[in-house]
Amino acid sequence: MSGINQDIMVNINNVCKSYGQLEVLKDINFSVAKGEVVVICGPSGSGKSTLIRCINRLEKINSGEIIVDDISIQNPKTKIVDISKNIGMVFQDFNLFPHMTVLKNITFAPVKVKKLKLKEAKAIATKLLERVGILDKADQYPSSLSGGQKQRVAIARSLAMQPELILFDEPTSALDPEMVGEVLSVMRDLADDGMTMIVVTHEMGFAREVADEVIFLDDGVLIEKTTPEDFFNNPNHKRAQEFLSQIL
Amino acid sequence: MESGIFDRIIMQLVTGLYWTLCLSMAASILSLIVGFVAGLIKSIHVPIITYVVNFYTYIVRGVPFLLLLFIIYYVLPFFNIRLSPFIAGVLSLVIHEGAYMTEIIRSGIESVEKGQHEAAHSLGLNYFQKMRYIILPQAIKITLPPLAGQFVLLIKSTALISLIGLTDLTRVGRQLTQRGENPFLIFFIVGIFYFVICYPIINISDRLERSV
Repeated sequence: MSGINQDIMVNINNVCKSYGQLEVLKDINFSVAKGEVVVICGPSGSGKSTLIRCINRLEKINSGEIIVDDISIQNPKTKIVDISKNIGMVFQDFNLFPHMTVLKNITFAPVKVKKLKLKEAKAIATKLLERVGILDKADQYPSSLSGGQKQRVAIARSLAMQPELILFDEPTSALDPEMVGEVLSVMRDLADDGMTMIVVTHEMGFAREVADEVIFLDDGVLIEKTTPEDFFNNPNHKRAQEFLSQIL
Repeated sequence: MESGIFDRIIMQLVTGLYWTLCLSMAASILSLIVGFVAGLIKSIHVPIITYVVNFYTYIVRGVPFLLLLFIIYYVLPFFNIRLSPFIAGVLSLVIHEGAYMTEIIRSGIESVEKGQHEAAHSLGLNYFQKMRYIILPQAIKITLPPLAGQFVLLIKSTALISLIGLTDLTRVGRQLTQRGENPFLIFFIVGIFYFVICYPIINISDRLERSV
Protein backbone atom coordinates (compact mmCIF):
# COMPACT_ATOMS: atom_id res chain seq x y z
CA MET A 1 0.00 0.00 0.00
CA SER A 2 1.77 3.08 -1.16
CA GLY A 3 0.46 6.60 -0.91
CA ILE A 4 -1.12 6.02 2.48
CA ASN A 5 1.87 7.53 4.27
CA GLN A 6 0.48 11.03 4.60
CA ASP A 7 -1.22 10.24 7.90
CA ILE A 8 1.14 8.75 10.45
CA MET A 9 -0.52 7.06 13.40
CA VAL A 10 2.46 5.55 15.18
CA ASN A 11 6.01 6.79 15.16
CA ILE A 12 8.71 4.80 16.86
CA ASN A 13 12.07 6.53 17.03
CA ASN A 14 15.32 5.02 18.28
CA VAL A 15 13.61 2.90 20.90
CA CYS A 16 15.93 0.93 23.16
CA LYS A 17 14.94 -1.22 26.07
CA SER A 18 16.83 -3.51 28.35
CA TYR A 19 16.13 -5.64 31.39
CA GLY A 20 19.30 -5.13 33.42
CA GLN A 21 22.15 -6.27 31.20
CA LEU A 22 19.90 -7.86 28.62
CA GLU A 23 19.08 -5.62 25.68
CA VAL A 24 15.69 -6.65 24.35
CA LEU A 25 15.09 -3.82 21.89
CA LYS A 26 17.98 -2.24 20.01
CA ASP A 27 17.36 1.08 18.33
CA ILE A 28 13.97 0.30 16.80
CA ASN A 29 12.59 2.73 14.21
CA PHE A 30 9.41 2.48 12.22
CA SER A 31 6.13 4.18 11.63
CA VAL A 32 2.61 2.98 10.99
CA ALA A 33 0.19 4.94 8.86
CA LYS A 34 -3.46 5.44 9.74
CA GLY A 35 -5.49 2.42 8.64
CA GLU A 36 -2.44 0.26 8.16
CA VAL A 37 -2.11 -3.30 9.42
CA VAL A 38 1.39 -4.20 10.50
CA VAL A 39 2.33 -7.71 11.48
CA ILE A 40 5.37 -8.18 13.69
CA CYS A 41 6.95 -11.59 13.56
CA GLY A 42 10.17 -13.17 14.64
CA PRO A 43 11.51 -16.04 16.71
CA SER A 44 10.54 -16.27 20.37
CA GLY A 45 12.63 -13.98 22.54
CA SER A 46 13.16 -11.59 19.66
CA GLY A 47 11.41 -8.77 21.56
CA LYS A 48 8.23 -8.53 19.53
CA SER A 49 5.83 -8.71 22.48
CA THR A 50 7.97 -6.29 24.45
CA LEU A 51 7.87 -3.90 21.52
CA ILE A 52 4.10 -3.69 21.31
CA ARG A 53 3.80 -3.60 25.10
CA CYS A 54 5.91 -0.43 25.00
CA ILE A 55 3.40 1.16 22.63
CA ASN A 56 0.76 1.40 25.37
CA ARG A 57 3.29 1.75 28.18
CA LEU A 58 2.81 -1.67 29.71
CA GLU A 59 6.61 -1.57 29.51
CA LYS A 60 8.86 1.42 29.92
CA ILE A 61 11.62 2.13 27.43
CA ASN A 62 15.17 3.19 28.27
CA SER A 63 15.58 5.66 25.46
CA GLY A 64 13.91 6.84 22.30
CA GLU A 65 10.41 8.03 21.69
CA ILE A 66 7.02 6.54 20.85
CA ILE A 67 4.39 8.87 19.43
CA VAL A 68 0.84 7.66 18.85
CA ASP A 69 -1.60 10.14 17.40
CA ASP A 70 0.55 13.07 18.59
CA ILE A 71 0.77 11.71 22.14
CA SER A 72 4.19 10.94 23.53
CA ILE A 73 3.45 7.59 25.12
CA GLN A 74 6.49 7.20 27.31
CA ASN A 75 6.47 10.74 28.62
CA PRO A 76 5.72 10.35 32.35
CA LYS A 77 3.40 13.36 32.13
CA THR A 78 1.15 11.55 29.68
CA LYS A 79 -1.84 10.17 31.55
CA ILE A 80 -2.70 6.52 31.20
CA VAL A 81 -6.29 7.51 30.46
CA ASP A 82 -5.22 9.41 27.37
CA ILE A 83 -3.21 6.45 26.18
CA SER A 84 -6.05 4.02 26.69
CA LYS A 85 -8.55 6.20 24.88
CA ASN A 86 -6.40 5.93 21.78
CA ILE A 87 -4.93 2.48 22.02
CA GLY A 88 -6.69 -0.82 22.63
CA MET A 89 -4.95 -4.05 23.41
CA VAL A 90 -5.84 -7.69 22.92
CA PHE A 91 -3.81 -10.21 24.87
CA GLN A 92 -2.77 -13.78 24.26
CA ASP A 93 -4.60 -14.95 27.41
CA PHE A 94 -7.68 -12.78 26.83
CA ASN A 95 -7.52 -11.32 30.37
CA LEU A 96 -11.26 -10.89 30.60
CA PHE A 97 -12.52 -9.95 34.04
CA PRO A 98 -13.84 -13.27 35.39
CA HIS A 99 -16.16 -11.69 37.96
CA MET A 100 -18.06 -9.67 35.36
CA THR A 101 -20.49 -10.78 32.70
CA VAL A 102 -19.51 -10.47 29.05
CA LEU A 103 -21.60 -7.31 28.76
CA LYS A 104 -20.08 -5.75 31.87
CA ASN A 105 -16.58 -6.60 30.66
CA ILE A 106 -17.30 -4.47 27.63
CA THR A 107 -19.22 -1.61 29.23
CA PHE A 108 -17.04 -1.25 32.32
CA ALA A 109 -14.20 0.87 30.96
CA PRO A 110 -16.33 3.12 28.76
CA VAL A 111 -18.47 3.93 31.82
CA LYS A 112 -15.65 4.30 34.35
CA VAL A 113 -12.96 5.81 32.17
CA LYS A 114 -14.75 7.59 29.34
CA LYS A 115 -17.69 8.50 31.62
CA LEU A 116 -20.27 7.25 29.15
CA LYS A 117 -23.80 6.70 30.41
CA LEU A 118 -24.49 3.04 31.08
CA LYS A 119 -27.24 3.07 28.46
CA GLU A 120 -24.92 4.39 25.76
CA ALA A 121 -22.20 1.95 26.76
CA LYS A 122 -24.68 -0.93 26.58
CA ALA A 123 -25.83 0.14 23.15
CA ILE A 124 -22.23 0.20 21.94
CA ALA A 125 -21.49 -3.15 23.58
CA THR A 126 -24.54 -4.76 22.02
CA LYS A 127 -23.49 -3.60 18.57
CA LEU A 128 -19.97 -4.87 19.12
CA LEU A 129 -21.13 -8.25 20.38
CA GLU A 130 -23.30 -8.56 17.32
CA ARG A 131 -20.33 -7.66 15.17
CA VAL A 132 -18.11 -10.34 16.72
CA GLY A 133 -21.00 -12.79 16.58
CA ILE A 134 -21.69 -13.59 20.24
CA LEU A 135 -24.58 -11.37 21.25
CA ASP A 136 -26.27 -14.41 22.79
CA LYS A 137 -23.49 -14.67 25.39
CA ALA A 138 -23.92 -11.13 26.73
CA ASP A 139 -25.16 -12.20 30.15
CA GLN A 140 -22.79 -15.10 30.66
CA TYR A 141 -19.55 -15.10 32.58
CA PRO A 142 -16.23 -15.58 30.76
CA SER A 143 -15.69 -18.99 32.37
CA SER A 144 -18.55 -20.43 30.32
CA LEU A 145 -17.08 -19.32 26.99
CA SER A 146 -14.72 -21.13 24.66
CA GLY A 147 -11.29 -19.65 23.99
CA GLY A 148 -12.33 -18.26 20.65
CA GLN A 149 -15.41 -16.65 22.16
CA LYS A 150 -13.34 -15.18 24.98
CA GLN A 151 -10.95 -13.61 22.52
CA ARG A 152 -13.82 -12.17 20.51
CA VAL A 153 -15.19 -10.62 23.71
CA ALA A 154 -11.73 -9.23 24.43
CA ILE A 155 -11.64 -7.66 20.99
CA ALA A 156 -15.11 -6.18 21.55
CA ARG A 157 -13.96 -4.88 24.93
CA SER A 158 -11.04 -3.02 23.42
CA LEU A 159 -13.20 -1.70 20.56
CA ALA A 160 -15.71 -0.32 23.07
CA MET A 161 -13.18 2.34 24.03
CA GLN A 162 -13.26 3.41 20.36
CA PRO A 163 -9.50 3.42 19.97
CA GLU A 164 -7.58 4.66 16.96
CA LEU A 165 -5.15 1.78 17.16
CA ILE A 166 -5.37 -1.77 18.45
CA LEU A 167 -2.40 -3.83 19.53
CA PHE A 168 -2.71 -7.60 19.29
CA ASP A 169 -0.23 -9.63 21.31
CA GLU A 170 -0.32 -13.14 19.87
CA PRO A 171 -4.13 -13.17 19.89
CA THR A 172 -4.48 -16.73 18.64
CA SER A 173 -1.55 -18.44 20.37
CA ALA A 174 -3.61 -19.68 23.33
CA LEU A 175 -6.45 -21.00 21.18
CA ASP A 176 -7.27 -24.50 20.08
CA PRO A 177 -6.60 -24.78 16.36
CA GLU A 178 -10.28 -24.96 15.40
CA MET A 179 -10.92 -21.59 17.06
CA VAL A 180 -8.14 -19.64 15.42
CA GLY A 181 -10.23 -19.01 12.32
CA GLU A 182 -13.11 -17.25 14.06
CA VAL A 183 -10.76 -14.80 15.78
CA LEU A 184 -8.74 -14.11 12.64
CA SER A 185 -11.92 -13.46 10.72
CA VAL A 186 -12.99 -10.82 13.26
CA MET A 187 -9.54 -9.25 12.92
CA ARG A 188 -9.81 -9.36 9.15
CA ASP A 189 -13.13 -7.50 9.32
CA LEU A 190 -11.55 -4.88 11.53
CA ALA A 191 -8.73 -4.41 9.06
CA ASP A 192 -11.23 -4.07 6.23
CA ASP A 193 -13.00 -1.37 8.21
CA GLY A 194 -9.79 0.64 8.27
CA MET A 195 -8.68 0.05 11.85
CA THR A 196 -4.99 0.65 12.45
CA MET A 197 -3.57 -2.56 13.84
CA ILE A 198 -0.22 -3.80 15.06
CA VAL A 199 -0.30 -7.56 15.37
CA VAL A 200 2.27 -9.86 16.87
CA THR A 201 1.45 -13.28 15.50
CA HIS A 202 2.76 -16.53 14.15
CA GLU A 203 -0.19 -16.78 11.76
CA MET A 204 1.70 -16.30 8.53
CA GLY A 205 -1.45 -16.84 6.50
CA PHE A 206 -3.00 -13.82 8.19
CA ALA A 207 0.17 -11.79 7.65
CA ARG A 208 0.23 -12.66 3.97
CA GLU A 209 -3.43 -11.85 3.35
CA VAL A 210 -4.19 -8.96 5.67
CA ALA A 211 -0.96 -7.14 6.52
CA ASP A 212 0.11 -4.04 4.65
CA GLU A 213 3.56 -4.47 6.06
CA VAL A 214 5.52 -7.15 7.85
CA ILE A 215 8.20 -6.37 10.39
CA PHE A 216 10.72 -9.04 11.21
CA LEU A 217 12.50 -8.78 14.54
CA ASP A 218 15.44 -10.88 15.59
CA ASP A 219 17.30 -10.55 18.86
CA GLY A 220 15.87 -7.11 19.49
CA VAL A 221 16.84 -5.74 16.09
CA LEU A 222 14.39 -4.72 13.38
CA ILE A 223 15.75 -6.66 10.44
CA GLU A 224 13.10 -6.27 7.77
CA LYS A 225 10.16 -4.00 7.20
CA THR A 226 8.57 -4.73 3.92
CA THR A 227 5.41 -5.81 2.13
CA PRO A 228 4.15 -9.34 2.77
CA GLU A 229 4.86 -10.29 -0.85
CA ASP A 230 8.50 -9.34 -0.52
CA PHE A 231 8.83 -10.83 2.91
CA PHE A 232 7.44 -14.21 1.99
CA ASN A 233 8.74 -14.50 -1.55
CA ASN A 234 12.22 -13.10 -1.32
CA PRO A 235 13.31 -12.15 2.16
CA ASN A 236 16.57 -10.19 2.10
CA HIS A 237 18.16 -11.38 5.25
CA LYS A 238 19.45 -14.77 6.17
CA ARG A 239 17.73 -14.77 9.57
CA ALA A 240 14.38 -14.06 7.95
CA GLN A 241 14.96 -16.85 5.44
CA GLU A 242 15.79 -19.28 8.24
CA PHE A 243 12.76 -18.18 10.25
CA LEU A 244 10.42 -18.61 7.30
CA SER A 245 11.82 -22.00 6.41
CA GLN A 246 11.08 -23.18 9.93
CA ILE A 247 7.62 -21.73 10.22
CA LEU A 248 6.16 -22.30 6.76
CA MET B 1 -29.85 -31.16 92.74
CA GLU B 2 -30.76 -28.21 94.98
CA SER B 3 -31.04 -25.40 92.46
CA GLY B 4 -31.50 -26.31 88.81
CA ILE B 5 -28.54 -27.08 86.62
CA PHE B 6 -29.71 -24.28 84.39
CA ASP B 7 -29.35 -21.52 86.99
CA ARG B 8 -26.19 -22.93 88.46
CA ILE B 9 -24.22 -23.65 85.35
CA ILE B 10 -25.74 -22.53 82.10
CA MET B 11 -26.51 -18.95 83.12
CA GLN B 12 -22.98 -18.55 84.47
CA LEU B 13 -21.51 -19.92 81.28
CA VAL B 14 -23.67 -17.64 79.19
CA THR B 15 -22.15 -14.58 80.86
CA GLY B 16 -18.73 -16.02 80.00
CA LEU B 17 -19.92 -16.68 76.48
CA TYR B 18 -20.94 -13.04 76.21
CA TRP B 19 -17.36 -11.90 76.86
CA THR B 20 -15.94 -14.52 74.54
CA LEU B 21 -18.23 -13.26 71.78
CA CYS B 22 -17.43 -9.60 72.48
CA LEU B 23 -13.73 -10.35 72.42
CA SER B 24 -14.01 -12.45 69.25
CA MET B 25 -16.02 -9.88 67.37
CA ALA B 26 -13.94 -6.87 68.35
CA ALA B 27 -10.71 -8.70 67.58
CA SER B 28 -12.03 -10.15 64.30
CA ILE B 29 -13.14 -6.82 62.92
CA LEU B 30 -10.03 -4.95 63.98
CA SER B 31 -7.59 -7.62 62.88
CA LEU B 32 -9.34 -7.81 59.52
CA ILE B 33 -8.85 -4.06 59.11
CA VAL B 34 -5.18 -4.37 60.11
CA GLY B 35 -4.74 -7.32 57.74
CA PHE B 36 -6.44 -5.54 54.89
CA VAL B 37 -4.44 -2.34 55.17
CA ALA B 38 -1.12 -4.05 55.86
CA GLY B 39 -1.75 -6.69 53.18
CA LEU B 40 -2.50 -4.00 50.62
CA ILE B 41 0.66 -2.11 51.60
CA LYS B 42 2.70 -5.29 51.35
CA SER B 43 1.34 -6.09 47.91
CA ILE B 44 2.18 -2.70 46.43
CA HIS B 45 5.69 -2.41 47.87
CA VAL B 46 5.73 1.09 49.32
CA PRO B 47 9.45 1.41 50.10
CA ILE B 48 9.75 2.10 53.85
CA ILE B 49 6.26 1.17 55.00
CA THR B 50 6.44 -2.26 53.38
CA TYR B 51 9.66 -2.85 55.26
CA VAL B 52 7.95 -1.99 58.54
CA VAL B 53 5.02 -4.27 57.72
CA ASN B 54 7.40 -7.12 56.86
CA PHE B 55 9.16 -6.64 60.17
CA TYR B 56 5.81 -6.76 61.99
CA THR B 57 4.59 -9.94 60.32
CA TYR B 58 7.92 -11.72 60.81
CA ILE B 59 8.16 -10.86 64.49
CA VAL B 60 4.58 -11.73 65.31
CA ARG B 61 4.56 -14.99 63.41
CA GLY B 62 7.71 -16.07 65.25
CA VAL B 63 6.49 -15.37 68.79
CA PRO B 64 3.97 -17.44 70.81
CA PHE B 65 0.63 -15.73 71.21
CA LEU B 66 0.63 -16.29 74.95
CA LEU B 67 3.94 -14.46 75.28
CA LEU B 68 2.55 -11.52 73.32
CA LEU B 69 -0.46 -11.44 75.64
CA PHE B 70 1.73 -11.52 78.75
CA ILE B 71 3.95 -8.77 77.39
CA ILE B 72 0.98 -6.53 76.76
CA TYR B 73 -0.67 -7.26 80.09
CA TYR B 74 2.30 -7.60 82.45
CA VAL B 75 5.10 -5.58 80.82
CA LEU B 76 3.28 -2.49 79.57
CA PRO B 77 2.38 -1.42 83.15
CA PHE B 78 6.11 -0.81 83.70
CA PHE B 79 5.71 1.94 81.12
CA ASN B 80 2.61 3.20 82.90
CA ILE B 81 0.29 1.66 80.34
CA ARG B 82 -2.34 -0.29 82.27
CA LEU B 83 -4.92 -2.08 80.20
CA SER B 84 -7.97 -4.00 81.35
CA PRO B 85 -7.90 -7.74 80.57
CA PHE B 86 -10.46 -7.17 77.84
CA ILE B 87 -8.52 -4.39 76.11
CA ALA B 88 -5.23 -6.25 76.54
CA GLY B 89 -6.92 -9.31 75.06
CA VAL B 90 -8.31 -7.46 72.06
CA LEU B 91 -5.00 -5.72 71.45
CA SER B 92 -2.90 -8.86 71.58
CA LEU B 93 -5.35 -10.78 69.40
CA VAL B 94 -5.40 -7.97 66.84
CA ILE B 95 -1.62 -7.76 66.73
CA HIS B 96 -1.28 -11.52 66.43
CA GLU B 97 -4.14 -12.39 64.09
CA GLY B 98 -3.62 -9.19 62.09
CA ALA B 99 -0.20 -10.47 61.04
CA TYR B 100 -1.67 -13.69 59.71
CA MET B 101 -4.50 -11.89 57.97
CA THR B 102 -1.94 -9.55 56.41
CA GLU B 103 -0.24 -12.54 54.83
CA ILE B 104 -3.54 -14.07 53.71
CA ILE B 105 -4.69 -10.85 52.07
CA ARG B 106 -1.31 -10.14 50.51
CA SER B 107 -1.18 -13.59 48.98
CA GLY B 108 -4.77 -13.17 47.77
CA ILE B 109 -3.95 -9.91 46.03
CA GLU B 110 -0.77 -11.33 44.55
CA SER B 111 -2.53 -14.44 43.31
CA VAL B 112 -4.68 -12.39 40.93
CA GLU B 113 -3.09 -12.87 37.53
CA LYS B 114 -0.76 -10.25 36.15
CA GLY B 115 -2.90 -10.16 33.03
CA GLN B 116 -5.75 -8.64 35.03
CA HIS B 117 -3.54 -5.70 35.96
CA GLU B 118 -2.47 -5.36 32.34
CA ALA B 119 -6.03 -5.47 31.02
CA ALA B 120 -7.06 -2.81 33.55
CA HIS B 121 -4.06 -0.71 32.52
CA SER B 122 -4.82 -1.05 28.83
CA LEU B 123 -8.41 0.06 29.44
CA GLY B 124 -7.19 3.18 31.23
CA LEU B 125 -8.32 2.40 34.78
CA ASN B 126 -6.39 4.29 37.42
CA TYR B 127 -4.80 2.51 40.37
CA PHE B 128 -7.80 2.99 42.65
CA GLN B 129 -10.32 1.82 40.06
CA LYS B 130 -8.14 -1.16 39.19
CA MET B 131 -7.86 -2.30 42.81
CA ARG B 132 -11.44 -1.50 43.74
CA TYR B 133 -13.21 -3.04 40.77
CA ILE B 134 -10.85 -5.58 39.26
CA ILE B 135 -8.20 -6.88 41.65
CA LEU B 136 -9.80 -6.83 45.11
CA PRO B 137 -13.09 -8.52 44.15
CA GLN B 138 -11.08 -11.42 42.79
CA ALA B 139 -8.61 -11.38 45.68
CA ILE B 140 -11.37 -11.42 48.29
CA LYS B 141 -12.93 -14.47 46.72
CA ILE B 142 -9.59 -16.25 46.96
CA THR B 143 -8.93 -15.14 50.54
CA LEU B 144 -12.33 -15.96 52.05
CA PRO B 145 -11.68 -19.64 52.87
CA PRO B 146 -8.33 -19.01 54.62
CA LEU B 147 -9.75 -15.92 56.33
CA ALA B 148 -12.66 -17.93 57.70
CA GLY B 149 -10.17 -20.48 59.00
CA GLN B 150 -8.22 -17.69 60.66
CA PHE B 151 -11.38 -16.38 62.35
CA VAL B 152 -11.90 -19.83 63.86
CA LEU B 153 -8.34 -19.81 65.19
CA LEU B 154 -8.95 -16.35 66.60
CA ILE B 155 -12.10 -17.42 68.42
CA LYS B 156 -10.32 -20.40 69.92
CA SER B 157 -7.36 -18.24 70.94
CA THR B 158 -9.66 -16.08 73.04
CA ALA B 159 -9.66 -18.93 75.60
CA LEU B 160 -6.09 -17.92 76.44
CA ILE B 161 -7.25 -14.45 77.52
CA SER B 162 -8.79 -16.17 80.57
CA LEU B 163 -5.22 -16.52 81.85
CA ILE B 164 -5.01 -12.77 82.50
CA GLY B 165 -8.33 -12.75 84.31
CA LEU B 166 -11.01 -12.04 81.73
CA THR B 167 -14.10 -13.96 82.80
CA ASP B 168 -14.71 -15.47 79.42
CA LEU B 169 -16.27 -18.84 78.71
CA THR B 170 -13.15 -20.79 79.63
CA ARG B 171 -12.55 -18.89 82.87
CA VAL B 172 -16.15 -19.27 84.00
CA GLY B 173 -15.83 -22.99 83.34
CA ARG B 174 -12.72 -23.21 85.52
CA GLN B 175 -14.36 -21.19 88.27
CA LEU B 176 -17.33 -23.54 88.26
CA THR B 177 -15.12 -26.60 88.62
CA GLN B 178 -13.21 -24.90 91.44
CA ARG B 179 -16.56 -24.47 93.19
CA GLY B 180 -17.03 -28.20 93.04
CA GLU B 181 -19.00 -28.69 89.88
CA ASN B 182 -18.24 -31.80 87.88
CA PRO B 183 -15.31 -30.95 85.51
CA PHE B 184 -16.43 -33.51 82.97
CA LEU B 185 -19.86 -31.93 82.68
CA ILE B 186 -18.60 -28.34 82.76
CA PHE B 187 -15.84 -28.67 80.18
CA PHE B 188 -18.10 -30.75 77.99
CA ILE B 189 -20.65 -27.91 77.96
CA VAL B 190 -17.91 -25.30 77.44
CA GLY B 191 -16.64 -27.33 74.51
CA ILE B 192 -20.10 -27.44 72.99
CA PHE B 193 -20.39 -23.66 73.32
CA TYR B 194 -17.13 -23.12 71.44
CA PHE B 195 -18.08 -25.66 68.83
CA VAL B 196 -21.45 -24.03 68.23
CA ILE B 197 -19.74 -20.69 67.60
CA CYS B 198 -17.04 -22.12 65.36
CA TYR B 199 -18.98 -24.73 63.44
CA PRO B 200 -20.88 -22.37 61.11
CA ILE B 201 -17.64 -20.59 60.20
CA ILE B 202 -15.81 -23.87 59.55
CA ASN B 203 -18.74 -24.97 57.46
CA ILE B 204 -18.80 -21.76 55.41
CA SER B 205 -15.03 -21.97 54.98
CA ASP B 206 -15.26 -25.53 53.65
CA ARG B 207 -18.01 -24.60 51.23
CA LEU B 208 -16.15 -21.55 49.97
CA GLU B 209 -13.05 -23.65 49.49
CA ARG B 210 -14.96 -26.07 47.31
CA SER B 211 -16.55 -23.29 45.25
CA VAL B 212 -13.32 -21.41 44.52
